[in-house]
Amino acid sequence: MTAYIIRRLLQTVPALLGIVLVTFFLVRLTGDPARLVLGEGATEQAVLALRQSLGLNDPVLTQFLRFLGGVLRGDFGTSIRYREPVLGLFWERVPATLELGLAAYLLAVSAGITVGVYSALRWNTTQDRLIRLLVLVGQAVPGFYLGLLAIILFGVHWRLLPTGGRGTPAHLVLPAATLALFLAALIVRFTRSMVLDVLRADYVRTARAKGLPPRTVITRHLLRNALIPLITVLAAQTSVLFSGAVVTETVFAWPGIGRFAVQAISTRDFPLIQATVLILTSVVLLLNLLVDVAYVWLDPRITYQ
Amino acid sequence: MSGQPEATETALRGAGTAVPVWGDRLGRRGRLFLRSGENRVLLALLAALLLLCAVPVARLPANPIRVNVALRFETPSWGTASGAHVLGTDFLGRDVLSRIVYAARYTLFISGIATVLATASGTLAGLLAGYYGGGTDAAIMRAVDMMMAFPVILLVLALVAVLGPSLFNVIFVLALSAWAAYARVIRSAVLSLREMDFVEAARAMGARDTRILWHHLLPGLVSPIVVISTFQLARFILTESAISFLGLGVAPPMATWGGMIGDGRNYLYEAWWVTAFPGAAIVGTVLIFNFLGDAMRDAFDPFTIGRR
Repeated sequence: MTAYIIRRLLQTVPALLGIVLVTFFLVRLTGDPARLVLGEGATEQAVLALRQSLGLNDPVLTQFLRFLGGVLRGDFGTSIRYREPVLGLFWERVPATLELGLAAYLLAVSAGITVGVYSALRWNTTQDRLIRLLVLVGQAVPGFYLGLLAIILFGVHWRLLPTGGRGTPAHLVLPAATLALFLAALIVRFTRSMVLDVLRADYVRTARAKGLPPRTVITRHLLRNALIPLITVLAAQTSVLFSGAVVTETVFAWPGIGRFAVQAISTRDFPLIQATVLILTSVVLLLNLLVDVAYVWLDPRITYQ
Repeated sequence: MSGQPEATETALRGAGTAVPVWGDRLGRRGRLFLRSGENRVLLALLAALLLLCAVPVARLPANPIRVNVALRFETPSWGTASGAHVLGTDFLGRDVLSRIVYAARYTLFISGIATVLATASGTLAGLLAGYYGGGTDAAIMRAVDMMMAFPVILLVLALVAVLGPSLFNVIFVLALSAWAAYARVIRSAVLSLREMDFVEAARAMGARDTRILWHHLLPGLVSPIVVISTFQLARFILTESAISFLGLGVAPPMATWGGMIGDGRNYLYEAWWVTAFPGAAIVGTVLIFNFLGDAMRDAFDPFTIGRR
């Protein structure tokens, strides 16, 4: 077990380094970041001065090591637009994204599991087929389109809910529901097929045969085994959730990291873009690691060599 | 947007039992696929969609790119006597229906070519990782781990912003964002295939690695590849729409559905139709490909019939 954790940790290091390398070169793909920052009309002198001050005249390896050293110390550089350290700007926006993400996760998981179990227990009935159709439609609707439709209906047409910004719980409803839909559809699909698999297992038949009420069979016997794999699926969706947050936060003017990233990209604020991509990707990678390791406690049937 | 992990798992289940003959097996599966009426309807819809893409710009109801501000925000005329603009006009007075048909070719071209590129590169990476193992495998799989951790939209947005939103760059960046998913699936399929007797036999006969990869392993992987690619195409349509919506898609006069929604977004109060109809086109098209993927998976993998 310990050996497994160590090996898994060691496997994560190259991927993390790779991410640092990719984000480092991301900015240099254009050729000259200094000219990009200053725009087309900049004088040659200004470009040279900025190149000097950004250290762009040093050898690439020196630049990379400096970047890597900064990242390890938590120094991601200074935002071009805000003229403030990037990390602080990023950190300010974490609570908003966390709030939205957790709300969406809770919504997607609770609704997804309930509907998935229901659908599996009513296998091949009209309700089951309807749910499967809705799931397919749910996976085909782009988040931004769903968000805009929600704004048209709930905000413009019925004037029920606020359509932008953050503050009251009412502000959270539309963005969280929009972000949750894709994930919920996935969870329904997965839960349904897992429960269908487990339904045929001998221990479920035994539990039924000894006269346990259906509720107990479902919660104590069925769900416990059906849902362990769901944890990996959910963890694997973290990067999808971040992608969704980028779009959803933009549509609903939610002041989180996703919207911040889009603004950074449209204003070509490269230190900001670098930091956002780097941090979010590392979070995903570390979460995957955590889930892989946590798995062994959840499912005693799995052993690691 | 990645998803449908079971799609790949069950697609794989068929791979281990594959008989490696190029054309024959695919033909039999094709006939099985066509036996279902639903599937024939799906194929007809797909054909209709592709035909729409082939309509010459001059034959569209109106010029999709000519600006005429006098016609700004005409309401959709369906159901009314005048049939000028069935789905209304946008903020520059362009006919929404014509633009939806015009944008279809760009949306599908971008997603289609990106799928081809992602399939080719991801399959190659997966074949090499699975077949050679060892250091090759480790190197490729660490790169895959890294790629899978990037939030797709963020990566694509950042790369397109850096490289510039040309048609080629958008396609290239999309393909780059998706090859890793293929590599992972193909690798695990190869891991089981390469232990089969026919591979051993081929090697005993003195076949070179390239021959084994191309003639013995790849044919057995065709059905999972076709199934994954169909879902991937749908996913590319969604991703491309998202980046176009956020203003980083291909530039005018090229048009995409996501870009149309981005245009309409600022006028939700006055003109809902500019946003609503292109979105419906996205949902419909993605549904066609997702249904096709499901249907092919069922046809190619007898274990799943009636299950999903």
